[in-house]
Amino acid sequence: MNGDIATALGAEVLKARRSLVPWVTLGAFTLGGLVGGLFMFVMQDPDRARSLGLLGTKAQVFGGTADWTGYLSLAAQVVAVGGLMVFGLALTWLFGREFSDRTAKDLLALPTPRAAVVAAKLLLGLAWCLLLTVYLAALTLLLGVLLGLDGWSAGVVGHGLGTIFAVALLTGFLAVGYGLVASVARGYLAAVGALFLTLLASQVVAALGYGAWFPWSVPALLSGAGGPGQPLPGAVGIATVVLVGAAAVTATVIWWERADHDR
Amino acid sequence: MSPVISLRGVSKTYGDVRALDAVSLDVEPGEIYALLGLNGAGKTTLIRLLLGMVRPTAGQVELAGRPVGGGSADRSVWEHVGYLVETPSAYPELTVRENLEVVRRLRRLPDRRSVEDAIDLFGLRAYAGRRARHLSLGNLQRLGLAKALLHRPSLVVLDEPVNGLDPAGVVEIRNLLLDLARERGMTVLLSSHLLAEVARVASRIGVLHEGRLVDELDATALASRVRTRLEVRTRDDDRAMRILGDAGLHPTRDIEGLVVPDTDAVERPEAVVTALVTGGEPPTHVAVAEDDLETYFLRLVGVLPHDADTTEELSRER
Repeated sequence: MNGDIATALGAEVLKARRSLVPWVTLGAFTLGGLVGGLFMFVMQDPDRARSLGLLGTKAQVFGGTADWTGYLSLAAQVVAVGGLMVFGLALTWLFGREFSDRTAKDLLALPTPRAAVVAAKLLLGLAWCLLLTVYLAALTLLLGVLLGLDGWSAGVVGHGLGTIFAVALLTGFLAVGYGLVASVARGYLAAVGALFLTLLASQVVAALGYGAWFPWSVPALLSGAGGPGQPLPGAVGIATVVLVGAAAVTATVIWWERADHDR
Repeated sequence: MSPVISLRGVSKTYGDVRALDAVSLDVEPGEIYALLGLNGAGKTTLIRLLLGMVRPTAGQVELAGRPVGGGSADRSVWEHVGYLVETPSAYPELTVRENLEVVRRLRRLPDRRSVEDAIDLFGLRAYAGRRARHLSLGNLQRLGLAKALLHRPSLVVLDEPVNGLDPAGVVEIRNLLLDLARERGMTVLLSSHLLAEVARVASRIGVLHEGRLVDELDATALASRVRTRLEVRTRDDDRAMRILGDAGLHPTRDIEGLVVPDTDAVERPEAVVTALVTGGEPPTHVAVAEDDLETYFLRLVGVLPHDADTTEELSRER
């Protein structure tokens, strides 16, 4: 099976390499990183913030501090909220494109098992999420150094980066669900709808105070997006995310293996 | 020798819709078997069942003696099967060569030259570096066929293989399929709604209509199934009809003249000419004509009544 997955992964990498979508997601994360840096730049000097007008006002809405702790927390929030959209779109594209390009049927009667094709897509999606997160973390560190932020210490940076990667991993788990929706609905549209619906639901549920147990709110709360008043999600909340991800992986494999592929 | 393809009582229903109804057929090694049917007859459903893409509601599908299952079944059977289902598709941002490379990887073919060989075999050399989104429908169809035959399968399943091809392309693909069947013993199952094309390439034809296999015949038997008739033109068709009626024949009107379906008239047209000349209405044109294949097919599937004069019916339809 490992050989089958490696075979399928080779094909998936070739398909992704030529697409614009990876570059679009890279652009989105670049924007997220730069906006975070801009927030820090503004918050370092309130007079400058006021002279920037609306942007300055918005920047001060962020309740963090203009130091390494605040900046890394902001980057984790970018991964939690922006990541759900970006990773979700990546997974939606990996599966949904086979239907919009009408190539899904070419994956069904091959010596390479369908489960291996699905596994290759998921692994590529996971690697994609990881690379984007590494890139954002690197961009954050670079901008932080350029801005000369206060509060650098190995502990602070280690904790901040650890949070960023933990949030990315949880967000990646959740993103698998959009690949499932794109498969079952045989296209992008329903998955994008599900993405917006879950984003909205995560905000509402978190606002009601139950976000620590609602899988789609957990990464954002872990990143600190809920503010100092919100309790961080515990093991149960994190377990719900893992369960949602595992269920989505299982359901996606079963769907590709057993569904009637009549379109 | 056991059949390469075997269907036993295969049915497929979607809710209340019966897409296939107890279809049984065998395809022997080296045969070119054509599934013929109108749109919605069940051709594509049958092909998808064969390829394990959909599961039968009832019955059994076997390829090379092994049952076809869904995704988790034994995959080794697919090493020997190539296919093209419905419209040809390709990854639009990949070039022709890259699209074939994706298939080569998924089919676990170690020899990279197979891609270049397929490019040459299907006349795609000039387009090898072109992105699939910029291909014409005909070249996309060639790419689809190249993908289906990249691994030199012993069985190839092709859904409407000449769709979108220009006349030269149709001849080329027809000759290629005939060559592959004759020279390499490849078994071909294809579907088409183009009767004339099917008659040229297939060794056996199965006619699907409303999910049922309503007829199955050898290509050589096709000629015996089509009806013949005598076409007659005169200067006064009313008078000619009376004369032929008096001679015990059953002429009917056509747009261009009269049609005499009687076997006597078809076998002895000179007697008809004699009767008309003797009656004072010599014919200006007499010819024995056959139903074309489309007419045969329409009559078989009930679009035209069995006892109707086909030419007249078609004239009315027009």
